[in-house]
Amino acid sequence: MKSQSRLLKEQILGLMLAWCMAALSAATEPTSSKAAPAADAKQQLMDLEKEWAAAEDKGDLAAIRRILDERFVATYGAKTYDREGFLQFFAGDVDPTASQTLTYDAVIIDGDTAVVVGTDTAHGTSEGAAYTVAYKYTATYTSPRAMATDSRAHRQGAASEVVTGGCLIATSALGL
Amino acid sequence: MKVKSTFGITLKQQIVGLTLACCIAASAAATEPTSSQAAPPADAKQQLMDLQEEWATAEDKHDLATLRRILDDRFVATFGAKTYDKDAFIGSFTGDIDPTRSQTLTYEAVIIDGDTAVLVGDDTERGTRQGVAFTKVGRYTVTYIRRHGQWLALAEQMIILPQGK
Repeated sequence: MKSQSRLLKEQILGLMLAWCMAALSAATEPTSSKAAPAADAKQQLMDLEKEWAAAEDKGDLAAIRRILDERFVATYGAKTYDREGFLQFFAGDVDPTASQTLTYDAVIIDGDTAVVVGTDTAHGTSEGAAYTVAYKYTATYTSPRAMATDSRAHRQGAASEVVTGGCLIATSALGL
Repeated sequence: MKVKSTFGITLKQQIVGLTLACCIAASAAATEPTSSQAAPPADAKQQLMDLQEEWATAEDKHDLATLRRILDDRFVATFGAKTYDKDAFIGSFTGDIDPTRSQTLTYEAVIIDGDTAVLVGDDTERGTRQGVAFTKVGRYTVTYIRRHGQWLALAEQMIILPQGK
């Protein structure tokens, strides 16, 4: 009985060791995946882009502030703006005819990072005259800290996490 | 021979216990968030700036192997209205090398968030074209990801600035 008990203990210890080693091995895997991003993650990201564009059109500073990381930096031509500087663009009168149409050249989702490259075609009215301006842009998103507390879930669901609570950390655009 | 410790625990049990403790501690550490809100470590920033220099030098010398190593396979570059994938981008550095070509990089912003980084700055390029020296300045935004301890460029957008800016 005593030897059986010891055997059982050793078996339990062995199983625990094996579990620990497996957990450790899984935990040290790269956080990224070369697999194609989940379609829903890509869609969520595109939805977030639309939400951002709509917030700009409506001058909804609270929504823009929520989407942009505190360290957000935007580059337009020769000028670079931080988050507060960028928000000032949308603090004045709202143009009720303003709208933006987004098309995508590339959407790359890798772990907690996403890059979107596309064209933003903006329509609106300035001084009584309708205008259309197209911008080629690159936007970089990262997932927020709170979403990354569980490393395993983080890896498995990283693609959607980018978008679900994503923060935009940088964008660069050029008028075409 | 069983070696007993002062508390009557066998050496084997102590080793197993220590191993378990190490495993649990390592597992706990591995489940911590990969990123940190803290200021980026100076060495990570320096690594990225060094990599940018290496990238620029590889372009100047048409060192395609180095470019291929720095750029992620899904790399996408945007210049003006055009977008290039990794192969198309690297393909633009084949042909004759301009021995006078050089690039000077400056930095407006270096944002590091865990394994994601964005660098914004100016790239002043000098060289000779058809016997005439030229200088042009581009504002770049580059996104990097860190995988297996190695930073890889995932995207770049370059905007050529008008002269005098």
